Amino acid sequence: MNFEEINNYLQNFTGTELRKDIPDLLSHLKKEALDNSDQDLAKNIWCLEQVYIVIAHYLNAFRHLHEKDFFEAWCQLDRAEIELSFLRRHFDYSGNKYNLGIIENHVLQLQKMFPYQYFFSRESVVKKWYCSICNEEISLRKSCGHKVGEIYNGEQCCRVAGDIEFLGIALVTDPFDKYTVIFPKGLDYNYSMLESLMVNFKDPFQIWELSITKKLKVEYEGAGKNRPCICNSGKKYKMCCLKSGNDLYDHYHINFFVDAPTTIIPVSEQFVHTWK
Amino acid sequence: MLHESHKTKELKVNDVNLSFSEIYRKPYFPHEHEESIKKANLLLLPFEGMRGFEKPVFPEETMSFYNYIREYENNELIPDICISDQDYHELELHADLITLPLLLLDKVVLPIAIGLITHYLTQKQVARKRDLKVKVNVTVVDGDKSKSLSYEGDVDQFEETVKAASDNLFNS
Repeated sequence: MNFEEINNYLQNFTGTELRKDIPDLLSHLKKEALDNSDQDLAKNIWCLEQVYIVIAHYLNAFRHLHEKDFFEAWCQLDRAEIELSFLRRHFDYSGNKYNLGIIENHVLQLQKMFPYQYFFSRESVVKKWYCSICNEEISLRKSCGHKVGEIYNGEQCCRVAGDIEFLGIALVTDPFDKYTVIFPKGLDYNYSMLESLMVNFKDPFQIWELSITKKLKVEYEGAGKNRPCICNSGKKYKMCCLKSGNDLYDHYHINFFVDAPTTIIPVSEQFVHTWK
Repeated sequence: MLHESHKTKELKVNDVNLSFSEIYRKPYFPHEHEESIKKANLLLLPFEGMRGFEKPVFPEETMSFYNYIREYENNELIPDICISDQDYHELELHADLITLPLLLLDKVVLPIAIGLITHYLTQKQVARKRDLKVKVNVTVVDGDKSKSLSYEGDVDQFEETVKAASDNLFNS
């Protein structure tokens, strides 16, 4: 396959498994491009490599979700998101080219349906930085000239941390590294929202939308604003849970957009807790 | 410098004693760069005493922010960073929160600084394609007085919030 054939293959791909020989083919094409000093082609090939990687991680996540291997699915979605962020500034995928629009949307929506709330976050001090392109040490006032995020010789430039001093671990709710999920002993996460979704989510490029709205908790229905708050805080409702929003819960609603609605099995409303 | 923020837009304004001349006396002040640093009207400063680490540290991606402000085209702005290359250390917290280094600047360049920070943050948000939170602490030197403006909250609320406070505090 030449560049155009691979490009067409990825652009029209709608299956569940990618051809496994594509990375080697692209690597070979990139080497040829660099031998011919064709930096533009090498960059375009890097973009296709990234497209392949993003789709592959997404398909892995989809497969793991069906196999109920939820944590692995979570990690694959995280990788898909990260790899897509590397690609975004270099590649126009507007109009859902290569199905990346659907993938981008589904990754973000699927992440919201996981029960994970707490994560570990590493605290460390980095004392030295190196350039991934030329391996030169980078300092504040001395740069090798390569810019982070740009593509050189068909590779993306990044900074490599060196001489790292580990300080500690913190518990956070919004980590950069999403794979650092905490699994407390004796507690099992409740994945029932994802399990309900996967009953109908049969095709990885199927279109569906998640909407999250706030709804009033049943116990607060009819509560008087000037009456004591039912959480027993001693304050008036309007100064307590009405003000803080603790009287509301997140309501998740999924709409599938299909030609034959009868193929979708409706899911009744249910309350889902973080833990089983 | 906590790991995360749940605030939408919070701005705290305080009178402080921090000034350029006080920074020039700091132990971490790099005397080999004295000439250029003393010309600067916007200085990036480290956090001191973070997490028990004995040396001053900058938040992650300060080097990228420093490169960005150096390339920001404006004739009035003279930016620099108050640390030597050898003593530059980054504290990584690996949280999805942008923390900028402490900024000390002359009142004259405050509007420019607000613009450049906004542009930097917007670029970050566009690249990540998700809503981001930020912590920014700017100390504005106005003659022999200084005020610190500490913003914590949504990236897209930063400009409006800080600009309104700046107009109120320094242009009235």
